[in-house]
Amino acid sequence: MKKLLSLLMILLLLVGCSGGNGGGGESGGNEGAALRTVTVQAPTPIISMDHHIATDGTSFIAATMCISGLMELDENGNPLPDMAESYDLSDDGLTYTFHLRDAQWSNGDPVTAHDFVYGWNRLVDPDTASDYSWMLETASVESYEAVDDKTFVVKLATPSGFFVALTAFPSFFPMNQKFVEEKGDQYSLTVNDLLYNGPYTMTSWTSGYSFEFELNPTYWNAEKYKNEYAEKVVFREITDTQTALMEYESGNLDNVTLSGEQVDANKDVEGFVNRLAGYMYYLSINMGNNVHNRTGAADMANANVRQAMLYAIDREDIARVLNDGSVAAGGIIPIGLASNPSTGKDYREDAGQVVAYDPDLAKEFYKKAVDELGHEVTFELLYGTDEGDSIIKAAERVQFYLEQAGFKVNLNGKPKKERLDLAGNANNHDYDVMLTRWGPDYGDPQTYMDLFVSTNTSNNDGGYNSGEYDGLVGDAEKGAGATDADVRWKDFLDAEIQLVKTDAAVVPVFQAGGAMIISPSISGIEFHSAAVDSYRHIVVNK
Amino acid sequence: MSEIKNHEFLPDDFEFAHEAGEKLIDKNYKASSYWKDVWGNFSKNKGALIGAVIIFIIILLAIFGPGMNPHTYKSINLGHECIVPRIPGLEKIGIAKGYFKGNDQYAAKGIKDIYYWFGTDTQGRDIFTRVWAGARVSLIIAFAAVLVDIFIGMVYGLVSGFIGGRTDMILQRIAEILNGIPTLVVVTLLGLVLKPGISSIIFSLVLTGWIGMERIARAQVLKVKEQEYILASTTLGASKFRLIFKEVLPNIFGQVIITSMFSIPSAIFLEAYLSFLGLGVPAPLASLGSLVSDGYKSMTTYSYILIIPVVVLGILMLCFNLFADGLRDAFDPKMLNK
Amino acid sequence: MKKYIMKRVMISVATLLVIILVLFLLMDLMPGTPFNDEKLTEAQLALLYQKYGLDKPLLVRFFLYLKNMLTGDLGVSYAINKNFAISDMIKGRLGISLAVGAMAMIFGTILGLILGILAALNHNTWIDNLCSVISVVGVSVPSYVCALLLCYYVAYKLKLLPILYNQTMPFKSLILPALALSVSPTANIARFTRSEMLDVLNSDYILLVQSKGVKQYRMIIRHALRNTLIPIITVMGPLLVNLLTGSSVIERIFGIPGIGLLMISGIQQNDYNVTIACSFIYSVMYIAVMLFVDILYGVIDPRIRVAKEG
Repeated sequence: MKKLLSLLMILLLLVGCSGGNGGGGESGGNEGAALRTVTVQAPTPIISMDHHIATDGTSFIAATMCISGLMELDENGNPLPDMAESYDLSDDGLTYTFHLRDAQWSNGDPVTAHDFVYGWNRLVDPDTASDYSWMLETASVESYEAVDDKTFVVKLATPSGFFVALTAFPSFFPMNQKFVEEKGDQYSLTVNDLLYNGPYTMTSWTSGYSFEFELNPTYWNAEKYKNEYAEKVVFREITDTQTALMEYESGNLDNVTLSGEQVDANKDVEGFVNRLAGYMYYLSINMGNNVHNRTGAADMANANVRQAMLYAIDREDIARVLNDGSVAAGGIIPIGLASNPSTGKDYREDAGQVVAYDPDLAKEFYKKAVDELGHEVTFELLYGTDEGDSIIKAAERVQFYLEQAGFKVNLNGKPKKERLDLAGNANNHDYDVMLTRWGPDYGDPQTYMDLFVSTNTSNNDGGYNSGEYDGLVGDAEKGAGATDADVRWKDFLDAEIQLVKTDAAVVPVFQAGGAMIISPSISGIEFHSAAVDSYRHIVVNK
Repeated sequence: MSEIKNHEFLPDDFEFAHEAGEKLIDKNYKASSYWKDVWGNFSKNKGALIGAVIIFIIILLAIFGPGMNPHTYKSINLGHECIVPRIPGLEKIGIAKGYFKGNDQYAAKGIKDIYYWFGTDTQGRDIFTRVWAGARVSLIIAFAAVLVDIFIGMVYGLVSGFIGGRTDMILQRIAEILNGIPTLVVVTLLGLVLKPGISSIIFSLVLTGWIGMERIARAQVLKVKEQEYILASTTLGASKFRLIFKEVLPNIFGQVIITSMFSIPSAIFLEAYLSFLGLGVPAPLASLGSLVSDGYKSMTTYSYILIIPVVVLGILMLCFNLFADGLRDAFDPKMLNK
Repeated sequence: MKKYIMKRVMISVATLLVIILVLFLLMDLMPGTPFNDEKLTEAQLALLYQKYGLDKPLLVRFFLYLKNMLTGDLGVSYAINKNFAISDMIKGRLGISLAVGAMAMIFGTILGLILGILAALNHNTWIDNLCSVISVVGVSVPSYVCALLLCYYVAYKLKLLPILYNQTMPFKSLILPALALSVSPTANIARFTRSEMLDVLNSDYILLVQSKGVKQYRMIIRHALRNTLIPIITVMGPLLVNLLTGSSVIERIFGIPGIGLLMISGIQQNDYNVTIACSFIYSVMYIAVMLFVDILYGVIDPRIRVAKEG
């Protein structure tokens, strides 16, 4: 018995010690006077504060809090001057000359054009191994140089309507060479290993728990921030939607993301918003890469099989069941991605509905397919089991609708890394049909169109190979469209019809949304469906 | 020796040492077999009988329940998502009327003649059908878990504990290595080798599910093996096999049965986790475990989606335990008349 | 005894080495890469493999890892917190997980023993039945459901405790998670205590103790409990390891930066070093606890002389 007691004592002691340790961690410190503080939910942790290494939304949001690029985005996604006071564009639309303002890094160094050159060099340097190293090429940047400390000149190969807005993306942020090289491997690992030139500085970062920002007194616009915006922004990492909502309702959080299950009960709550995210979920059909001789994929080469799938799915119903703010897909390009260069109308408005739900037509196509193939069509639908509840629900609904049309569909749920392995990594292509998604990297249809050209071996998993499509996309990006924005726009509209409607090479399903409650006591969280959401303009309403 | 063998006792070889007048006559009882004793003890235990009957009913429901209404486990009733239970008969007395937060959901959605006995889930599928289809899967898993526990875990523990010495050392190290690696790491890898389905679940149970039982069986053996009756049996020349299975086993059977009953829910929940990894039963097929983890997401909004599978699982477990208690008492002669 | 313990420790270290090797093998077999991003090209992937030395043969990596491990270097994270030293990542999290686990174990042991003893002393009465029902419910209701129930009623409705983990009041905010985690150990321990206690209470020496007129509580604690402890400790060992190494669901629900979530993310994202390090912590604890339990057998029950086995 004594032994047992002593065992208990040891355990108790352990609790005491480690409990103390937990508390003694990096807490925010004592601020003295209360700051205007906002506490927002971060559904995922920061993966890296090195904005060349980071790939996820939360890391990018954190980067935009404390580091400033040439431009920043306003609430509608239009560029506003930040580090660049102004810029000039040459008549041929190829040369941008950015005039930098007098701004400082948090260690007192001035922000110069050389910082941008170093940052961009580091982005494309193979040793950095950035996931976004192709960004400069995509933006058709041909060269860039620092003419003097305050003048940064960028030359493009072809005119680009979205280039200026793109400079607000973290990949294009400047970096202080001296500091980064001094820190070496240690750079960006803690709040002290970072240099800030943005409106906030990072004051605490405990992975899995929270990260916090306070006003940066050396920011060029610090005065305005001090008067108008939140003085302290705390991001609390909460993954579970149900406890997050309780925490919000208890007044400890200023915003909360809702799951589909929670929306009905909360859609009339003050502050409820439905934001559209850029992610487009679609069925990738393995029509040309059947390297594993799968019987399901073999049938996918049949055009009627694919057409049947295109018309079989009631996308409105799927969006309604997901109930998390997602909307039915109208085509492969999501709503809010890009707007017509002449009229300013949204792409989807211009393009209209490329897909439709017509169960009778679907059955007709299916019958034709069976006649041609001589057998019923059975295949596996691959989807991710750890990519959110909505994708599982969507997969089950898609299966239901496809079976209504006559298909025999087996669901094959796999964790994401395995799904990607089956899909396209190392040219594996071991799937029939996959429910997958693509998030736009910039606000232009090109970010989607490039995926399906026959020369894109790393993303064109299904092996779609169409001369017409390749021609249209090529014309838009390198042919007539390169100099004429309207032609380019028209080419993309036609390319989408070719890809989705004519060839049914992909079957768009839904565009992800995010239902959220934002406390009426704050405003200024800005959502950008094709760029990084902004938390740097939060206002505390009194 | 031969002298003794040939010796015959005659009735008048012995006589009473004292109290010559007293005579004791032994009554003869009909010898009853071991199994008859067990059954006799078991059938006297009311709780165990009730448990057995309810398990039987649940098994029947798992077999026939999914066919009791026109829905199937995967049929989606468009527009009928998240409808609360309504049961004919009970609705008249105010239970399961189909009201959600004071509104008649059935009237609101214009459903007249359809009764969702357990309601529908967020996809509009009939929960009654899914629960019994899921119970079917879970019962198979439960059965497999018990078999794995007994045939691998118990035997392994018995042998290891009883033989002891070097054999024990080696067997324990093997078990330690298997169990020292977190189960999740091991089962995640099974995804490579196996097609998802019940077979992959059973295989992961075979790999990792028996170690808890093994440790308990071994500990029990260690406890009893130094006791006098084992020594007696050993002295009489009983073989190791006989010692383990005839002498030790009956004395630890109670613990073994209880432990195997307790491994059932963990096996059922292991399956739910495996489904998440893409190793469990493939969606949209359900199991009790996956129904519980699905229902969790709606716990604060549509709690019945969670409560129903939890209650079914709870009742199943309770009955398994009553049943196991009965078995334990029936097998253990020491428990009689207490 | 000393010699036996020494020998066991040596063997345990060898077992651990085998486990690390097996872990390396398992990691090698995992599908996909830690850099599994849709937007990465083949060339970049090869470069990343080279950068982190993942292109080297398995055994080379294994020995490099062992060498580094002796200096306390557990490598860096590839995916979860890119380029972070694993030792730093684990340091902060391990303490919290240990605290929750230990609290849960204490709750579970105390409640379980009380329930079990109560049930055994009142065998076949309503108290016994109630205790049985509680323990059955305890194992068949998953801990995350209990967690959310506690959260909802205790923290959200009654506002007695914080809903989420809070660094500024670690003890208070860890009570609910610990309670939620303790449900299953409570049930397990209660069941075992009950059945062991029944066995013991029916044995002859208890009859002797009773007939000597020893007070009941003394009889239970001095004589009965001691003999019921062996199988209970056997059950407690693995339970303890599971509790101490964190529960990902509970950590997720309460927003606790613990080691359980880290390990799950490691497995899901193929962050090899994280998975190996977390698994290794688990293995060390498991083997240490098992060793401890084995040795304890001999201490509690004089009839089992572990030294004999050696």
